[in-house]
Amino acid sequence: MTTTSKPPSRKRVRVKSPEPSKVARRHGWARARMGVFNLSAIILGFYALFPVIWILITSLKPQAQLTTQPVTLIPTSVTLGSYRTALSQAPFGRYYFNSLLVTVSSTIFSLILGTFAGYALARLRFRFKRLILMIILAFSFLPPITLVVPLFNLFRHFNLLNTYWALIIPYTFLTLPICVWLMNAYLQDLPKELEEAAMVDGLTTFGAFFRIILRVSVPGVVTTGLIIFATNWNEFLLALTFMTNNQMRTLPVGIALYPGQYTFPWGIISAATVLALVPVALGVSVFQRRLISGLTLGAVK
Amino acid sequence: MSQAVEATGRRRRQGGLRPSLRTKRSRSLSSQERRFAFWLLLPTLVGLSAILLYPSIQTILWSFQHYILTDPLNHSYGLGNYRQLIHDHIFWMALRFTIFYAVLSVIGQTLVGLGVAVMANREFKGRGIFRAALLFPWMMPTVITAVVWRFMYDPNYGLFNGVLQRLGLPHAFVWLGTPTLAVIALFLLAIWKVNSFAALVFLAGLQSIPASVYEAADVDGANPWQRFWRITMPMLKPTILVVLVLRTVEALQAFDIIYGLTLGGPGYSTLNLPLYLYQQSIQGLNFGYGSAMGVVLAIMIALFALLYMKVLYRPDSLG
Repeated sequence: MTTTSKPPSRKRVRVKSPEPSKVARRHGWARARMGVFNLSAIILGFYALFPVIWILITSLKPQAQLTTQPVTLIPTSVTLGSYRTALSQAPFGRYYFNSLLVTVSSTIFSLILGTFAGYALARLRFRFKRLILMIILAFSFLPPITLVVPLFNLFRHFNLLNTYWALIIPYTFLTLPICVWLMNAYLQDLPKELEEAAMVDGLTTFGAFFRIILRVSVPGVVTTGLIIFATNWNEFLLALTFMTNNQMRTLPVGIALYPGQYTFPWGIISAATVLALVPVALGVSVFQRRLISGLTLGAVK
Repeated sequence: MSQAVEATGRRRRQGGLRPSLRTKRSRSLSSQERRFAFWLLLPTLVGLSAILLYPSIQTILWSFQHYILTDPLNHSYGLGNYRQLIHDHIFWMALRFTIFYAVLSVIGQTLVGLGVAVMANREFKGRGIFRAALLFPWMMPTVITAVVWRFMYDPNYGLFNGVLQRLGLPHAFVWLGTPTLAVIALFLLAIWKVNSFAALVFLAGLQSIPASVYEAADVDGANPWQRFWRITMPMLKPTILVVLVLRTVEALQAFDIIYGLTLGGPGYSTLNLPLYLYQQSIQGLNFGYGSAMGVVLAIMIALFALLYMKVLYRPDSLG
């Protein structure tokens, strides 16, 4: 944030400069550069969003304009027909429910366990802390693709395939290492005086954790929760493998496996995709800052 | 692991505390603290061992077994699966493509991301919207992104050919039907999906460079080019390294993106190791053979993961 204060002060110095012509020239140059810069920011923003814009346009197109050649870039009329079909014909509503249920519960479980472990690693005194943290982090490098076969066999054995547990259990533990890592980083930054004050008030370590630390760590829990939610909401491999019953599929699998590999009903698929992106769009627009700080935490420490 | 925690506790109790703290109350306090830590960590460590570690060990064991689900004869196979891998030319194609894809897509993502970050590293109106836009591709479900791009690559009704046609350019590309074009199409998607995330990480890295360093360089009369190569790049190096390693680990495991876009085709032109593993073990039910492939993949990933841990395990980081 140090860069924030820099440009204005610099400008002030230039305005005070004794050569007006030079100032004017510089000013014009700076303005032109700013214009180029804004233009390229818009182009880059468009580059990041064009598939989303395109899918939104497609989902609103009337049937006849979906198959014109060359393709209709901007439809002349708009309809919600595709949305209606997506929600009534295919079980997209059911997929949505499945996705929400699995994602929310595994995120909650992961957050509970991750906050406990993260707290112990960040604020309690015992030996081999760093080793334990590194071992937990190492778990996050286990490739899910090599776990999918044994887990498939395990769940088959316990008759858990095509139940919500088949996804809730692995999602909880696949995201747990990251959860511990982020919560540990967050809790480490809290002032040490918190527990000391709690001790003075006669609370035990146990009491200090439940009465004080949990309350002040809400922002960290929210950030971590968002990242875990997004990870689980987007998961595909396990959902594809463990949920073979159409009624149990999650949204990404439902969309990817929608019948008709070659003659795709693109209007319906687009509508379902837009619906699947709603939580993502909400999360990104409301929690942009938190998400970025959480996502970049591991890399920029 | 849990035992280790407890063992530490016991050892500490025997007198590892500083003399000034060696009062009855503080001693009971710190043993209470250790016990609490043990119970807090226990579910995590037990769960991770059961759901992540145990299956990994099973994969290793299965890779030495003749284990086909439809074949009742499950017996020890020694290095049989690995010997079979060496003679499987599809495996070699998939392995080659896995490495090719990981290296090239990560380089593309990093370079484009770095460009975007350096450009966007200043205050401007609508910066929040810009950053949200950058965040979007990364937050979208990968497989859905791939399906959306498959639609855009459609030769008849797709966006790309449509725009080319409207611009009066050649437009009869069967993007996903020709091997070379399918590989290019996959790279375009892979770069789009990740470069903006890389840009956000680099932006955070750029903002942690103190402005005073640049001011000092200005005083010394450094030009923008020198500022970039002498200040920005060296100070951003650790961040770039972390992004490179993490993205490579992920690119080696790419599954959703290829499944959604090409399913490994046309032919085997975009088939990578995870997808081939999936075909062999989940679709072909040859658990032993799939496991051997999993071991090969895990070793490749472990090498990069170790590199990452080494970068991260600096003495000054993490208390």
